[in-house]
Amino acid sequence: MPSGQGASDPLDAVLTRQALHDVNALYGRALDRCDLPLLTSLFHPDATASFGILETTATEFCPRVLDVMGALRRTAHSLANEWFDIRGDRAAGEYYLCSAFSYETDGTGVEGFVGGRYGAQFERRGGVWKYAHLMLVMDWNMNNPSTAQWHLRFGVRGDRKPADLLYSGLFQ
Amino acid sequence: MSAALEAALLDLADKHEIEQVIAAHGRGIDRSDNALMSGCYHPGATVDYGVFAGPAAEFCAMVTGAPLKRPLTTHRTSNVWIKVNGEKAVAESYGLGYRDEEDVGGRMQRLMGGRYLDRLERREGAWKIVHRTFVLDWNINLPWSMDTTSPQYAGLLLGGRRDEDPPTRMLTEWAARHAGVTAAAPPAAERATAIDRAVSKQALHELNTAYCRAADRADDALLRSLWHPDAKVYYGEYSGGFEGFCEYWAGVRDHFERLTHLIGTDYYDINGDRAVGETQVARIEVVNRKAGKMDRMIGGRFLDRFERRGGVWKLTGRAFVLDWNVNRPTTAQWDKGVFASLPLRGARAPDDPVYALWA
Repeated sequence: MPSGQGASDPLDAVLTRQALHDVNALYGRALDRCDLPLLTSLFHPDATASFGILETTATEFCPRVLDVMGALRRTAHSLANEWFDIRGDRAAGEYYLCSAFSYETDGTGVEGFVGGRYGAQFERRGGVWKYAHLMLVMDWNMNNPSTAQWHLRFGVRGDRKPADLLYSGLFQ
Repeated sequence: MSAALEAALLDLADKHEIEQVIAAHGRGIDRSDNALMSGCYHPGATVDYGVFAGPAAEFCAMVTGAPLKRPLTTHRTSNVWIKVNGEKAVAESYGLGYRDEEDVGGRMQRLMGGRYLDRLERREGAWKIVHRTFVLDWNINLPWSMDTTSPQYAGLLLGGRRDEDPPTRMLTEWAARHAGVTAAAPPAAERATAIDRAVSKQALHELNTAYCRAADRADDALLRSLWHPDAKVYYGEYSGGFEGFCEYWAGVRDHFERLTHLIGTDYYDINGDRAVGETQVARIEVVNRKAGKMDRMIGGRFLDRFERRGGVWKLTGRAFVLDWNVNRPTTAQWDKGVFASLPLRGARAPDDPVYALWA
């Protein structure tokens, strides 16, 4: 099933694929920066989420998932391998996440890696693509004592909103 | 409407179709779906993974025919860079692999990285692979440490193979409910602007993939080509003009025995001839230290500023934001098990096989 099935104009197919990619990218940003308004803005009002433990409306899902992210010291969601099935104003897709979690267990730092996939349904309403349904599955995770070295002189330290460099005005 | 813009649009549409094939290949392996995986290849296509070199159809049947009950695998592609030339194309993509299996010391979780070097053709309107080569770049092997009880993992849906996989079932049911629908073209008045923005986004994505190739292959000419003359880099150890950054990089890179910049989630905000971007990046390297070889992963984001001058998008500013890092004695394995079956290995420019593909 090719992407853009049924699309008569390559421009619509191209813009749609980029728009869906952007929704996914902003979803990752919203989780990592704990940005609830951004996260909420990516879902249609009647959207639903299916994460196993969270089978609910997006309205309820968004603050709860950010509670989980916020309890971790740091998160970094990297999304790739995007596959989309686009049909007019509706689309569905699957893409892979690989997340790095830094957190504490009994006072000990842990570095976690999570491999999983999102299955998403999207709709375009009023010209804007958003999630209609979002599903997450975990395929694996790895959790080992932290070996992080923060004296490494690599760049500015990342943070949540609004402290992160992203919001400095240099990159907006 | 300019003919050049329409040609750029068709080039981008081709790239998107090829990205879809590359993504489907990973899904086909991980779900043990022979139709999906072999559907990425034209009849007569071949693959070269080193120990297995031969018909793609045979390779697909072998991979997807492995026992379904084995632990899940991941084959995730990122850094996709495609060059289209008429009815033919070449593509490089970075693979992040995961597998869970018994080793001498017990159950291991293996992360591995390499690159897919693809030759593709369009036949009867469909882009598919005609030859794929896989080169292995790195691997990390740690004792099994899966956790399904901590709050961030507890109760999550788990992936599966074939119809036991929740997203696969969801996508199949969704496709059955939604027959093909033709989308309306955007208004003609906005067409030129829309194409320009779409093509610009792709150009920024390609700058990011080019940076990774330049750094990972130690390709100095490519690295220098990505910046406007006044570009600034804030990399922590180095801050200043891009030429100084290229010199700094040439000075430190020989400490790395192997180096891979794995990117994801690239997002660009374009405003005329200026743009900003945020991209997830994991720098994965084997580094020589007094104490011995270390596996190091440096994770963070590139925050970028871009400008289009004389019709060409380049970087004018790049900051690296550090989010996480891992440093442990190396666990790389090169000559046994799955790694022994992947003897084609990445190298620096000009010896890496990507340069023959791109020529």
